[in-house]
Amino acid sequence: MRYLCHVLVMINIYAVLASSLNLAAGYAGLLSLCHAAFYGLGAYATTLLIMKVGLGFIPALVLAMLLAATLSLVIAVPSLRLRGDYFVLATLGFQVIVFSILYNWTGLTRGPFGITKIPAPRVFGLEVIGIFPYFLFSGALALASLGAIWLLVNSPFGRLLRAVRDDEVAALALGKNAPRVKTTAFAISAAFAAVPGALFAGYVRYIDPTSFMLAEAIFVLSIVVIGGAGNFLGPVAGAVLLVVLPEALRFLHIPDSVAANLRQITYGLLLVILMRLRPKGLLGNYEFD
Amino acid sequence: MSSTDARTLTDSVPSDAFVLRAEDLNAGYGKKQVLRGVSLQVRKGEVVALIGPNGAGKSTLLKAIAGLVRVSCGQIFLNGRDLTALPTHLRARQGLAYFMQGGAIFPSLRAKDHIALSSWVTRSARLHGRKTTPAWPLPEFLADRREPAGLFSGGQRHALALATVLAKPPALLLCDEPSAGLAPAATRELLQRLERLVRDLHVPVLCWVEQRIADILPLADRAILLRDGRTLAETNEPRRWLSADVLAEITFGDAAK
Repeated sequence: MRYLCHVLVMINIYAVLASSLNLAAGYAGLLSLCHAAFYGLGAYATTLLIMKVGLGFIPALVLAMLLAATLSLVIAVPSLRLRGDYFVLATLGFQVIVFSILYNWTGLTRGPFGITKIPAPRVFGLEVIGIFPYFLFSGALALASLGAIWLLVNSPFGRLLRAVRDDEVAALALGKNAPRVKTTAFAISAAFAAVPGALFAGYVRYIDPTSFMLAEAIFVLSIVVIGGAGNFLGPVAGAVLLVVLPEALRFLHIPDSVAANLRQITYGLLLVILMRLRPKGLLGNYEFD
Repeated sequence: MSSTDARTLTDSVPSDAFVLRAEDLNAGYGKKQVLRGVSLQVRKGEVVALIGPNGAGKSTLLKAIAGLVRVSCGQIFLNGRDLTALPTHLRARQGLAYFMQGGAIFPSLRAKDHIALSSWVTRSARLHGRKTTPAWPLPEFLADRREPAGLFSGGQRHALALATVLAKPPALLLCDEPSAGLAPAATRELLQRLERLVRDLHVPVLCWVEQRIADILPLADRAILLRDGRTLAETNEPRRWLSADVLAEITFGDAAK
């Protein structure tokens, strides 16, 4: 039961993270390699605001989301006027920079030692302690985030987003401010990527920069691609699959030294097979160029 | 358009009746200059055909007016308003409709979404009383289609693209080779539509044509012959240009004016 709850909490975390990336990559066509950075910013900002400033979980989370959205503009404003490939490179640079800051600003983040003894989240005067309450808590927050993203992609703004992704020049010719649409979408996406960060920090109660490296960004992107970019439920399906799959390997009683490598090999194989058979992902309706 | 009274109207009009006025446009791609000082005017309710050999700059001229190609020198006015410094989307909001070659659609959106997208304006624009009645309603055979437009046939895409561009009544319609890739019957239908648009709504049209010159020239009120990025000749009786020597000039770029 505890184990099942743990798996479900991880699914909640990755479903929100992948859905936030889907908003940028799937709906707006903005391939981002820095969502692990926003995820880490969410984790660190929420934790530090709770521990050093003494804010409650929800106000800390809201501020962390605003911080991630603001920092996303640093990449989006200069690079979204350029071609798509430059944007990908800019996100890659941002990912590496954020990791370096988390790793080296030891005065604030304690660098490689990480932050220990993170208090359990307090919401409305209640402390979320224990694995089952945490599953309910993360589930509620995940549902709220996914609901907000659903409303957004099904609004006129979501329609505009897909139009800009499909044909940016045609959207411009219809009087749509395409660069601003993409910048806004990227900022909202970054804000929602901060939510799973806060959930992760409150769950594990310990964070260090290695959880938010480029490999994690690529992992999240593979959740989106495998699940199906541009489809609302695609990243959720991808998160279920990619979180459950390595857990299933656990029951094969493989020695620890092999297991980690096997996990990577499985992801790789899955990607190759899927790209061959279903290039748009499990549920997707948009294929990257 | 083909009626004579429309043509006599356009002959002696005051200069403020120009919907579009482009002066001494110079534009190009990187170091390659394509337009070398093109000037032209489009008056209310007229159809102007742009013709010329390959590489004359017809497409570039329309792109420069729409703001998709940067103008290095010269000015563009729409209803007396200087558009030269505005980016593409703000020019579109001033009423410049641009029908791209082959008709641009958004493959993942349904037909109705296109119209909703095109006529969706921000609240501030709505407060200023901008009209959103469609100038060109979505054809019935498309309105009920529920699949994404990426699955439409070429002709359906074309019709959808035109309805999308015209979802808001434009001040001027720019057409980039409107008949490209269309069957003869579909071309005829398209031309009839454009003719009705001009006659009923007095929307002027500036279009460049390469294929089916013989079909389109008679419909135009004026024609402009472009070569090497310059206007070579202009006529108020485009029908007369259907003669062999002008067509040779257009096709081969000979000095056979």
